[in-house]
Amino acid sequence: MITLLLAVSTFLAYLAPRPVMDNGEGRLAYADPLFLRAASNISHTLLSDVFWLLSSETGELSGRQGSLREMAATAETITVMDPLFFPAIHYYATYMASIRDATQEGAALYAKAGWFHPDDFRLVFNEMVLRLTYEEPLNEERLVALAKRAMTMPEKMQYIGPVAYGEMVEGMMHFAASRYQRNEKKWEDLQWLLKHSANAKRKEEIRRQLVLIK
Amino acid sequence: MSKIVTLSLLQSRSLFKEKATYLFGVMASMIIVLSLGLSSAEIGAKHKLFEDILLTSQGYFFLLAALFYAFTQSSRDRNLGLFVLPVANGMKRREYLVAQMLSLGWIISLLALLFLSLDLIALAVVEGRVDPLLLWQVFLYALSSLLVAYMVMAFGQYVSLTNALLYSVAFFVIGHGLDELYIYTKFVAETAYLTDVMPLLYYLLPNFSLFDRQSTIVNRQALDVWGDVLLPLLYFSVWTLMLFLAALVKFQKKGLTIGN
Repeated sequence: MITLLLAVSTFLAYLAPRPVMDNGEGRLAYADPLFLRAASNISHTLLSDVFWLLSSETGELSGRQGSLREMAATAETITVMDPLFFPAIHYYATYMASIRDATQEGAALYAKAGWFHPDDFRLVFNEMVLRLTYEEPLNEERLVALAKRAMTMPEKMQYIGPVAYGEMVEGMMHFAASRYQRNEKKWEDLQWLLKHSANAKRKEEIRRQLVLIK
Repeated sequence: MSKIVTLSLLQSRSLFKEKATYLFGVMASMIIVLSLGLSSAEIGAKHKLFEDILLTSQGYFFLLAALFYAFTQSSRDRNLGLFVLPVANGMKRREYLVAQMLSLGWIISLLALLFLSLDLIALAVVEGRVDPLLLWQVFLYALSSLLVAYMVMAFGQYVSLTNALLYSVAFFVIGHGLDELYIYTKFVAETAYLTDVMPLLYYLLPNFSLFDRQSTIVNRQALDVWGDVLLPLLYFSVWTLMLFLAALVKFQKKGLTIGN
């Protein structure tokens, strides 16, 4: 018994994240979200709420607007701790893509949430929409792969109905080519972000972006 | 059968009389008051924080209770020789073990009933309605803690009770980390060695992450009938049977003496 436990513990210790110097940025809690999730046992969803509260309301990030790297680490931690916490994931993905010009980091959140729920249609669909709206140049290979995955998901009927693969790709390309449609979507996203942001500095950033799009 | 039920009820009644039972009730009520205080905090999803505090705390209370009751029962059995009288009077050893497991089941069910009643009141007050899915998660936590209690009982046949307690907690912690380990080997590390080792760990160790459906439930996502409902029930039954057999192998050889 002891040997088995020792072997398992050694194996887990081997997987534990190594300390990395990163110029004082980041927090211990964000060192490796997957490891933190495993260590937090059944409290991972509660911790996700706490991180979300800290990052959006009272945390350091909202006060000094943090670096993109720090924001991406926070968002990744929240996502991994609770991969179905859509308001938080959608907020960070949209914010990073629209305000910070970091579409890859935003899209990665949906992909990481998909690790835990590979059959969730909304995660795939949201990543597609985010990429189509903000990504330049478009990663067509990734988009096609996502579209193919989306078509095989049973939840597809519930959200987009009986759309054929060809129609879907055609619609996507039409949307991506239309500057007007993309701007309309960006405008909607920014309005949504503005509505759900509590921090004054962040609201100001979003308003500036709204003026630019107009 | 009636012998088993009578003995298990007697044992669980004696466990219920422990002061800790009242302490668990008081602590659960206090947590509900605390979460009621935080219920107005808006985090983008209505009542998510409230429900997370409620479910997480109750999950840990179940674990504490399971460890306490299993330890108390096993130590009484070992130090006071409670098994001697029934076994000497013709009760089969396997029947005695079943009675022990049943008594742990009764006491955890009683605690689950208490938590469910508190939750019903709290949810009705805060949300104005009761989502039955939340109650399903409370039930799953009760099942997982019962499995831990059975581990203490089974390991306690082979090693000292303190060690049995430590091993059970270790299995609980490791078992909850198995889904993260699976994700790590599948998406992060992506090495052939880890991919080969992972299924061994995933199936050999008790996978407690199957009983954690809190994220799906508090985010109001639909439950998968197989993965979220039937699989945990089946998994619990299989592990209960395995632990019973493991305990029985040793218990069959135990002499009718008090102490080790």
